[in-house]
Amino acid sequence: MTEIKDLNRFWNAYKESRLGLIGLAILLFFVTLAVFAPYIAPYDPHEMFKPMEHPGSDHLLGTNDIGQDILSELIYGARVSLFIAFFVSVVSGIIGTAFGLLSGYFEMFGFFLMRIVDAFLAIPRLPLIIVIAAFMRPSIWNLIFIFIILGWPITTRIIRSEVLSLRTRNYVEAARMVGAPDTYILMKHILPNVFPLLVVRLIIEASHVIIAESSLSFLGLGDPTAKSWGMILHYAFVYPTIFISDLWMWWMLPAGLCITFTILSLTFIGYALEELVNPRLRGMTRI
Amino acid sequence: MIEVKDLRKYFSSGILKKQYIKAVDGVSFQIERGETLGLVGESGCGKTTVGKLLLRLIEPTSGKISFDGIDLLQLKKKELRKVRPRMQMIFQDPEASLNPGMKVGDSIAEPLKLQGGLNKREIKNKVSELIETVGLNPEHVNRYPYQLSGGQNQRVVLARVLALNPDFIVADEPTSSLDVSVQAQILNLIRDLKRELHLTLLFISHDLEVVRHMSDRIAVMYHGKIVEIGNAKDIFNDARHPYTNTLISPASIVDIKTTSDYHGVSGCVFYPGCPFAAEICSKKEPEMVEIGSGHWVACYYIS
Repeated sequence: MTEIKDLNRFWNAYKESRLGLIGLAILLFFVTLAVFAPYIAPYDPHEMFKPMEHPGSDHLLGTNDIGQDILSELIYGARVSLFIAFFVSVVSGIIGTAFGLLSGYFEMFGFFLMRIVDAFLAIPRLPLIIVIAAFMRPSIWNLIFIFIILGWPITTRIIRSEVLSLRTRNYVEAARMVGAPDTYILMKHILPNVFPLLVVRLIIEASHVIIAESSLSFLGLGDPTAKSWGMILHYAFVYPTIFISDLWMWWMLPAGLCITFTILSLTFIGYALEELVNPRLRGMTRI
Repeated sequence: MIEVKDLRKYFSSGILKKQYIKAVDGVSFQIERGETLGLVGESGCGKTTVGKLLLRLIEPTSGKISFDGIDLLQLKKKELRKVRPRMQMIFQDPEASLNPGMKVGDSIAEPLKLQGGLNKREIKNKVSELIETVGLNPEHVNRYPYQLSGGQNQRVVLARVLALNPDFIVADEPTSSLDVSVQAQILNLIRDLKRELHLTLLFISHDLEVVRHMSDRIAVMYHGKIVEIGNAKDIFNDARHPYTNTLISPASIVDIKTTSDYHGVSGCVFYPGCPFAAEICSKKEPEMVEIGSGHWVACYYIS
């Protein structure tokens, strides 16, 4: 009962943010595309027709250089991009939260872990991703692995700083005084209270991952068989006459817009949630 | 019941050049079973730190604390967890002492669940019993802390603290964040409960009137040291330490110079602000001297 009430309260507060609603609508649109791709897409994205057809009634956005329907590619592309983003942010979120909780609560462990995190954070992210991706066999799972490895330290640092503050709260001390063991305090009193911050962090991480995946694919370091938006851009970009004809308008632009709008939607949602978590920001990002 | 000897807590900061803040600097006192000791002093003088040290919420730099014959500082983590339920603390801000995401009833039930030995129905009954003891309504159980007033929340905290039948409670300014009209209610409730349940109390406050209302004996703290301790009556009628006097009748004596670098001072902590300071005060720290039955003062001026 109260969980439903809580959700209602949350939704009522979230509704206040116009940006948040816009973001949610865009994201839902792409999620629908991804989930129902086989029903929405007019063709199988791997099926080949006559190459380089211009947009027409058969192929709304034309076909690419090997005759695949570009619209279908885009729709299936939502699957790849969103899946990677979701998977990475959840897994690196779990790892980052676990380490963040432990390192915030146990000082010695935290001290040593933070030096490792420092090392990770000192490395510029995208160049490293490019280097690793170049040496590993390009596949979706390798990309996911790299993103997780690079994503958790940031989450850990953020969660840790929150735990450091939470663990000195009176209710944590009060729990300790009634004989609560450390694990209980962490799970029951600290974890639920870092959760709002974590959600914001996951959303931001998801948008970072989408950018990184698109960049890598665009540079040709992605999975060549996966139908991601970045990959569409890559194949279009290497096609000889792409910019001296109108081709880019239906081959490149839609994929670019898809990436842009997905990231925008995540950013908007992130803003809205951040306002909820930190009421001091309220009204600063309103349009 | 409680015996504290030469308790010290220094907070250090800085890596290369350590700087120490002497929050508590050699504090000794006793509290008899069933007694209330009031601890007064201005904010920042180390009152709260003393309270937390007694319950080992923070580890002292040195000193000795014995609780009912148990040497608290020798206890390992596990043993400590067994003793902990017998000592509890009430914090200044009631809303901060309750997990914002937990229903008030769950907060009260938490200590009972953690201690084990009771089934769900017994816990529920015990919670309603406690709710009644502290003067709340049964329907408050399903509320969240933000839905209750400060006074109601402090009652919840009390119920939670009493759940484990503690022997000793540290009340750290339990009413200073409440409305004046509610303060008296909570204070009387604490006093009545203390009498009914034979509790031993350390009552911390900066408000002398409140302490007088609550305490059998009073200890006056200044900059990490106890400067005077004695029966409440003696402290109010026969205060000897100049600092105690400024607390009781602030207008009677020139204003105290508050200095931040008293740490370098080798003599009496109150020396920089004391109107009666003599040469010796700056050189040697005064010892505690008993001037009446159980009335101790650390000051050269009285002798």
